[in-house]
Amino acid sequence: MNATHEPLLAVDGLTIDLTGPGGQPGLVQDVSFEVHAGESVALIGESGCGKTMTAMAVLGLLPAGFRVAGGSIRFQGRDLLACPERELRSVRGAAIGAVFQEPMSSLDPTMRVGDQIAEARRLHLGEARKVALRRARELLDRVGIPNAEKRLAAYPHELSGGMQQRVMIASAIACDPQLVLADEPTTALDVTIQAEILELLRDLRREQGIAVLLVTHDLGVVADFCDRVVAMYAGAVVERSDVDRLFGRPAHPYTRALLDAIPQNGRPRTVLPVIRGRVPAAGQFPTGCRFEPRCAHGGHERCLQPQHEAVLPDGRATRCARVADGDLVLAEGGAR
Amino acid sequence: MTDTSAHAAGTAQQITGAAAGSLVARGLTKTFPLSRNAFGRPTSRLRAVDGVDLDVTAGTTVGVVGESGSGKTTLGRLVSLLERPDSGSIVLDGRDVTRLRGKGLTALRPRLQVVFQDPFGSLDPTKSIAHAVAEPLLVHGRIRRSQMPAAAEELVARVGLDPALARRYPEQLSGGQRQRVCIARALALEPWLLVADEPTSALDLSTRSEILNLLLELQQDTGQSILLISHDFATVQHLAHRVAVMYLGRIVEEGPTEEVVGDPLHPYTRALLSAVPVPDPVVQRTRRRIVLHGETPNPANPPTGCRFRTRCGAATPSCAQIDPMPAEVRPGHRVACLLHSDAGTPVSAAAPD
Repeated sequence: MNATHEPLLAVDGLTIDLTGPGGQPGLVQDVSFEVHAGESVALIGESGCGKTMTAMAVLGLLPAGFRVAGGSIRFQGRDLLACPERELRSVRGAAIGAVFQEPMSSLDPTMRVGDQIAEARRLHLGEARKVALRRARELLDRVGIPNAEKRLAAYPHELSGGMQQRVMIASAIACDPQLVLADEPTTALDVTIQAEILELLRDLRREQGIAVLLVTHDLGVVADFCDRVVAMYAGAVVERSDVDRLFGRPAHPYTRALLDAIPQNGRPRTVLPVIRGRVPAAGQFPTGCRFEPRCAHGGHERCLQPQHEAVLPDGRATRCARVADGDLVLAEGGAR
Repeated sequence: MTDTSAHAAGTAQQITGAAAGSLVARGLTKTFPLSRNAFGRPTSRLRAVDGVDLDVTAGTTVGVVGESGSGKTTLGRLVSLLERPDSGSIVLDGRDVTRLRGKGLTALRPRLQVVFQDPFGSLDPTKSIAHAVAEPLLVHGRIRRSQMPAAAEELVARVGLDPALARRYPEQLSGGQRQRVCIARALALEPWLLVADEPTSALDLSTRSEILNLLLELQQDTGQSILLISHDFATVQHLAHRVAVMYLGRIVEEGPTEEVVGDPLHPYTRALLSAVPVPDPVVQRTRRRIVLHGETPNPANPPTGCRFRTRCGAATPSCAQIDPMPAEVRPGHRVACLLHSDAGTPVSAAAPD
């Protein structure tokens, strides 16, 4: 989009290993993508494809045993992987806010909502509790929580799921971040609440220029909310594209297959195309194309070679060698 | 399929033919105590399901959609006799089963099976898959213990899994495989009615389409009826012949799926459908969401008159005075809204909640 500017977040060649006994190298392999200021990027794929792992690496919150083995994560030009922990802390939670799927498990049940939101400002900006609480009240207003003054003193369990997620968003944006990383923020919510939360995130983008990296497996949410899409399969990025072209002209057999698996409006009770087999377990990835065993166009000798990302003339990136040089042409359109 | 409209009038209670799996529920109400006083008497109650009429024609799928707290799961539990209604009746294939107890109930159980949302929580981690799927057959005396492995392999194969998986344990299976195991277990006793409560909600997109295919195929083969409870519109739209929309314990709209989805009449159904994003960015950009005011009211203290009126953009003063009743506004399509029919009971005459 605005390729001339330096991206806000640039992940380049990120590789994550599982260390220790039973360790697996290359759980996440050579992942590269960019998020520009104010833009909304979706990270999609089935469970076990490494979306959340990638997001956690950006936050520097990889679980014990996982280690970044290669690549770089640059945020505002600064390499987060080379940062000492102290410096990282000033980025995480301040310049990068995070919203997770289950608000109830991310909020502290013993802490009042107001203090939880204020905590970020007290820690990162060193504000006094009173000042921070006043700001927390404004934030609750901002995320559309009625009776903000009263809700400051509420505990998370006293709020509905949608309200809890709003509180999460309020604390994610407490320190005016440039980027919000949202991992399945609406998956546990009802559709009407989901629409409201997406609306709120859209407002934040428009009014405060916050960029959003949205991890999701709901293609409806992607179509509704995102500018660009990064599709992952088995720990690798298989396609990068803008949202219109991803849905209209997917450039990888995996994204094509995902789109085909969506039930079509006008054709109820028909058999849906499925992706045969399942995502290989970590460590059992094929040496060639990781999607080849499940691919409708597999079996070609070029599929047995390791695949590299190729950028097509129109700017889309694909990790399918056959699509890249025009040997394989995928069907167009959302429905088939 | 076409006799549903006869039932929908609400008066015709006779059951058609000998087809197995037809369900007629009338006036189902279920109340849960929220708090009790020192004597154990309930002091406040939540009416989770409030006067619901529902028909499932044998061999068809009826979808129930609604948000959390709408009572759809409780309705499923009432229909599958896991929960006893406070009032109302459930007629299965012409037989009133509402007050069934003891042996009569045990004999009926195999006919009603349930698949739950969470395939992780509904399988015993210490029992093999073979045990999980064949146990119902053993419990109901259909097979002997020595026949379990063979029966299990057959069932597992029927839901499209490798029979060798029968020797494994739940933790060794993926979410989609587990959901297939749950379906295999529910099918073991050849039920007439399968109640599927959010069968696809915990699954990935590609796995979801596998389960949808499986449910379709099984219904075509064995012709059981399915009550599909889901908040996932794509699932309901794809599988259900008819759909019922619930809001705060009531069915507000019910009719043929393509009619309800294509031309919804109740303001709540319209709002709900407008909130479901379409997986096509070009189409999605042209859609307008109907914004609902405020939050869902507390189900323990629903508004008087129409329960949706506090959030409805088309509410009029009479919506507070008349409690709308579902009325047939098109053949086989019922709506409980004063915009479409003046059927209803005045609030003052209604029993105080």
